[in-house]
Amino acid sequence: MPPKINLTKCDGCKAEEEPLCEQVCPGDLMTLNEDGKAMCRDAGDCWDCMCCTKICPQGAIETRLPYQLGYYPAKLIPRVGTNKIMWTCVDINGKVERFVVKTRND
Amino acid sequence: MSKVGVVLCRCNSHIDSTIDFNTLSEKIAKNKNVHAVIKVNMACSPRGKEAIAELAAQEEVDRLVVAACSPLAKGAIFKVYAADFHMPKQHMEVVNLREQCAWVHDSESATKKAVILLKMGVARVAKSKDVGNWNLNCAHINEIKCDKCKRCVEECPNNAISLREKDGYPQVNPDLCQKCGICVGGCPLGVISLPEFRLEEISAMLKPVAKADSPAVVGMFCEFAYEEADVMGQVGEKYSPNIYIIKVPCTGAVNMIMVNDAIAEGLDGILVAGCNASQCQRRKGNELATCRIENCQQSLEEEFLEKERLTYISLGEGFVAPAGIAQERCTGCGQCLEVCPYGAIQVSPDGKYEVYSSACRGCGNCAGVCRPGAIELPNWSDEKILAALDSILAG
Amino acid sequence: MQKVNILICGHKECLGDKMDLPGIKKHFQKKGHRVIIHSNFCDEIRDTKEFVLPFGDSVNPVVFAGCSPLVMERRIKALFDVPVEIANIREQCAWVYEKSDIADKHCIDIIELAISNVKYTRQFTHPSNILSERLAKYVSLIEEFGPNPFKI
Repeated sequence: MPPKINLTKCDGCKAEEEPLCEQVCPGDLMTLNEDGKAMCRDAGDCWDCMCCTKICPQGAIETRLPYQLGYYPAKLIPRVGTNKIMWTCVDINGKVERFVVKTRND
Repeated sequence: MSKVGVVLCRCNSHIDSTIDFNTLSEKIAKNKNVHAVIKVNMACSPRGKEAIAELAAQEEVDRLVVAACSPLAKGAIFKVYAADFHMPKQHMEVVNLREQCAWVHDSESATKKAVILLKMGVARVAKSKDVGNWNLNCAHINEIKCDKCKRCVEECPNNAISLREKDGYPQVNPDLCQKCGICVGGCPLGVISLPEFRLEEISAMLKPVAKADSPAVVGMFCEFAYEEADVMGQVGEKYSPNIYIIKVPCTGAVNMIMVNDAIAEGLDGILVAGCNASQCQRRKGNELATCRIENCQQSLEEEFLEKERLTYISLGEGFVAPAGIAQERCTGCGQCLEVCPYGAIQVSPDGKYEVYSSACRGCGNCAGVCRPGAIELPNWSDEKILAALDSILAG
Repeated sequence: MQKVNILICGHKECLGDKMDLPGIKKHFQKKGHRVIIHSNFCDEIRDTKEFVLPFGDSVNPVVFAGCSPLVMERRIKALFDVPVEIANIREQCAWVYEKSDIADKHCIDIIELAISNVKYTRQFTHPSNILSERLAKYVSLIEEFGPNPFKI
């Protein structure tokens, strides 16, 4: 399932030619539309790596879980700190689980 | 592993009459980064300096934490000491145990809070990095991690950041940089730091707060809000001991990565305190901060967390006696309106210039520029300064 | 000339024996000012509730000669009901001069300057405690929410 972009939050990284999501996308799927907002140009090719979701400074991108994993409203939301990522995982019944993963040793 | 020397200042028993220094030094000595703890009376005195110098001269000690008064009071002087001890100033941290702990809380909660504040200070210096090779005193961009998103270029209120033609990386003009930290707060990758304000340091400071009694609230106070918190201590007011205040140059310097770290550490609340609308001396800092915070609050709600856990407040700032305009002498030239850095001068509907008293911070720019001499600061009138000069000349 | 009340904090640990405080006291008494030398004013300040005004109900302004205004200017000003000016005879006098006669002379100059200033100084207004209000409200709100779910 492709990333869903919250158009009110996205500022297109201040409308520069290459926003952060475009830089990190391993499939080079993200780009800016005519309004200077991020968009995914080929939803079918997205493999849900969540790189764009994690990098977005505005928190404007949400990854919808593929239907094999969970129907709406199942969600997986990352929140990135300096040396850890917090995950909020919502299952289809709305049960919320949270966990913190360390990403860097110091 | 860094070896931190901790100096506890009694401040002529202003501090140790409220805070139990024995408990404090026992608890802090257990910290793995702490090498030695000394207690001195009046660290700012020549004798105090000798004691600190002795500690700094110990071979193992390479960082210092001085727990004394506010960095806005004598605290700044300890930073100056660092140069005398041949120590980079980043390796010296001042912990405010007087204005924001001993003077505002009762003995028991002050001792508890002091332990945490001191641990925060130790965590910060342990993470600090000698940036001696940034010979220029300005914001620094780590180009290895920068991905040229240009947000800093857009957001800098002083236009101090521009793109280098050669390779497109942003570069900071040290002549224009005012070290407000707005770029630090805006950088989505957290690669910008100020010489004395690094994201890693602030994140390290949050860890001890999480171990405090619930609810543990961390306060990110801009310089003016910090001063107001100090003033509360100075005039003998009290406030809740649940808050642990970190001084930031401007609320615009609060990066959402720090907020994320605070939430991950398990802090119950993050209170960002800054200026009212036009008051920001850094011009755009508070606007950007509120914008970023609103954004982050939305994400918090999406994650089923209460959005009030991250809150922006602006304090009254009513602790400075405002300037006054003598209407009969005012010619309405409008110079004061132009120079006021805080937007405190307003034109009333009938064309009168007035000072908006709670926005005024008594800097005196308007009084200096006023040709008819209509503006006067209550405690710095022209007569007072002239009389002072007379007195000096008579002596 | 308006008379002022001069309070000199002569704490030994701060000032040492560099200055001849009784001599300075006499100098200002000759000019008609009221002078008190306190042995350790910090002790007096610490518990503001028990603070007794050293000059009784005198309405003359007060010059406090002691440590730098950076140390506790507002704290001292808040104690008195009259205008107060601080004369910094510790950091800018006792701690910088080697010879006592220079220190004595400079000390008198600093206090003279404060006497001239205090005539134009206004009464300190006690700031309202907005921080405490806001903070109490915020902390009780957070308490209602309970601990952060990410806390392990």
